[in-house]
Amino acid sequence: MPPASLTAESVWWRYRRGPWVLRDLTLDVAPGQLLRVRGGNGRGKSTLLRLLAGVVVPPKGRIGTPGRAAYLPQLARDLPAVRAGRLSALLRGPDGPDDDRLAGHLATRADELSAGTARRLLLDAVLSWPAGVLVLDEPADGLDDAAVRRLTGVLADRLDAGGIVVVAEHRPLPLPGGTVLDLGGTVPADPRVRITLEADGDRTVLTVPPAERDAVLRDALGRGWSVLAVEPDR
Amino acid sequence: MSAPLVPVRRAVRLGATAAVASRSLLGATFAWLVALAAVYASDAGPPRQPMAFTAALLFPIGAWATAAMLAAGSDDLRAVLTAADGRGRVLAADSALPLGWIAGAALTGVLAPLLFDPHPAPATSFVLGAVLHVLTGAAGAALALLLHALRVSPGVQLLVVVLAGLVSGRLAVLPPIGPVLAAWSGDANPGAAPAVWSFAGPLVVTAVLVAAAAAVRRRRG
Repeated sequence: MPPASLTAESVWWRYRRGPWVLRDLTLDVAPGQLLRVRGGNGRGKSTLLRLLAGVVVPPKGRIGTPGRAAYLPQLARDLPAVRAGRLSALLRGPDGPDDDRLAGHLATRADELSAGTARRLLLDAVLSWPAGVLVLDEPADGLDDAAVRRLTGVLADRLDAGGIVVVAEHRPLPLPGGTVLDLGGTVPADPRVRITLEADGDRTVLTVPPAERDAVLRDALGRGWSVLAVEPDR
Repeated sequence: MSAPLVPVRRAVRLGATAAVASRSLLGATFAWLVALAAVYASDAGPPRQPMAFTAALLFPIGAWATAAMLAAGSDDLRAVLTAADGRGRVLAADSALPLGWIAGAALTGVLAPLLFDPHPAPATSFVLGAVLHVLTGAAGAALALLLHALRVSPGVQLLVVVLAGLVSGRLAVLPPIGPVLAAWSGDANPGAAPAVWSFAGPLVVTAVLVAAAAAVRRRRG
């Protein structure tokens, strides 16, 4: 019988023969609980999420999970050369994405989407699954404020329904409560870029990592948006 | 077992949709058809011998086709699907397409002598040929699965597949190719032990390689 909680018992992890990234980590996330994983670069946030999602098995220790996990990886850069709409339909069913902003990208090949849009596509799919455990690596990356509000609403509903939510977060998600697991290290100053766009009187603000700035700008200009401002996000 | 979040059938369709756009898969398919054309362009002798030879060729070409299909997919999606539905289902979805391709290649490998080989042969020869093609092709696919799980570069994959093919082809006891060629490429019927090993050898190799690929995926995703 699967455990009711998501658990890690004395988990160790390292890459091949490198130094141990996770050492003797034990945790227990109960139904309805939010776990916020924080820490500097290279401290094992994404690795821990892959372990909790069941993507990999630790060489030492044990992960216990109450069921299948809806997992969003940190990067989504190698999606297949399939139309985004087709990919979405195969992942989540034929109803079409809940994220309205994906509608304009469905005819684009998934491997040609900007990193931010590719993550939104995957996020939209994994949030549609009736999984009891959600494991999301930096889910707010590349989302505008409205999308972050929608995301937090979905996560709050899942938590209220007894779901387990684990997020690695660079900036805290605007969700109340949650247990913080700090893996240590120095969190770098927020490097995000704030892009303000306008089209037909409709203004939107995107906050993206610098690496995605050019792709987002290219994409926006190609779709007829005007760029009003590009500035560091403070 | 819980109902999958993404049914295997949809995961296979996802892989197929990505694979059809793969030029490398097209290359492997073309290479297979060229190999058949070259073998049967002139009188290749009674069908059993050339079929043993083309079955041996399906080991590296099946590995090539499988590598192309795996490369056309996405490791991020594999991670997402593994979390959703478990490693077994993802491995099954990743194996289904190559096995389908190999079944098609085995069919053409048997149809070619049926259509173009002037020598009469009993139906059992063609059944034997089909089985040998499937066995060696599956071994090639399993090797490609392992190399993909190990995340070695395409150049190293090519080197390993070619070396494995050459070494196995030269050593009569070393499956998957050696026992097939040793038992079935001559005029005489093989003894019981070589005949059994020509079937069991590729099966053992395939099972070991798939188990190794599954073990590597457990650690590396």
